[in-house]
Amino acid sequence: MIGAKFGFDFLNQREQKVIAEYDKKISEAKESFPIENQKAVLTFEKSVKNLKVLLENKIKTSEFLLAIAGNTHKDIYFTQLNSNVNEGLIEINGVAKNLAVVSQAATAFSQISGVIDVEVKNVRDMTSTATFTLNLKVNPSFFK
Amino acid sequence: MKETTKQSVSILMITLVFASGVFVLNKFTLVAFSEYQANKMEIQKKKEALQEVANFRKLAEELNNKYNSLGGDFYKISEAIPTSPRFADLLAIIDSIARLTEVKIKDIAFRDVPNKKANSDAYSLAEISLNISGPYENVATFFAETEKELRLMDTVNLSMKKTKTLDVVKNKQVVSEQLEVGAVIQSYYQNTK
Repeated sequence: MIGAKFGFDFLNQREQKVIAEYDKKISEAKESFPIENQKAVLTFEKSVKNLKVLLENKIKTSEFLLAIAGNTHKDIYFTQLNSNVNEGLIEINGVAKNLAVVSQAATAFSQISGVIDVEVKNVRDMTSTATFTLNLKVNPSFFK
Repeated sequence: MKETTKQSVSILMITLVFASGVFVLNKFTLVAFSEYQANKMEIQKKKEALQEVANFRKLAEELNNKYNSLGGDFYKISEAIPTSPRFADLLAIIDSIARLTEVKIKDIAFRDVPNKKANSDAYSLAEISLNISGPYENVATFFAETEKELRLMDTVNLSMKKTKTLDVVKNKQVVSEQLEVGAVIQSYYQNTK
């Protein structure tokens, strides 16, 4: 048992030397590659990853405005347009010639790629014109 | 000495030797063994730490090579998603686009929405709320220009309302249709923590 004790003491001394060598190597490695550089590299790597995701999901407002304008019935005009990307919703308030035109306009909007559904809401016949609210439910690709 | 006395002495001696053996085992040998095991674990940890630093270095070299080949794109990437909100830059960009597209900025506000998750790779938001007015074509061009900007911007909320305004052109009053637009634009920046 006493022999084992001295044996372990010998091994421990040797291991302490190994640990000291590792400590030296680690501090040398850290010195040659400072923590600021490590942070900068990490931040830039994150930026590149995020940029890739953001570019894939980039919202193109001008294009969806163009898609709506290009599919708007000639006998209606808008008084208000609201869009919410997070909810995937476009609300259009406007004035049409008559109720048939509102129906045709809603059908035309539903043909746009990316439009899931068109809800016709708050239609009011004002004798010579009709006011309306259309809710376009769109999938995320509609805004991209 | 009697036979029984001899036996008793022998038993006592054996007990003493055994007891001293247990004492030495507990006091010295086991302590040395524990220390030996702790050292082994310490060495393993140091090996892993050294490997981590080496991996980091390798990654840095790879990225460095990659980004060196990117050339000017390196600048573009850090402009598209900088490391702070840089609201002054955003204001300058929006103002410049508004002047170019002849859209009137009525008001503009900025909000920092930092990503507070520790050790997160996610980006933070620099949010711009603005009210502008102008003819439809100009407003559409305004948003088209924000999409082309190097600093990444996404319009997440948009509210357009048609209004009529009275303008004076060559001493004559002219009614023109304008759009009143409220928009929330998200820009991004990278967390450095």
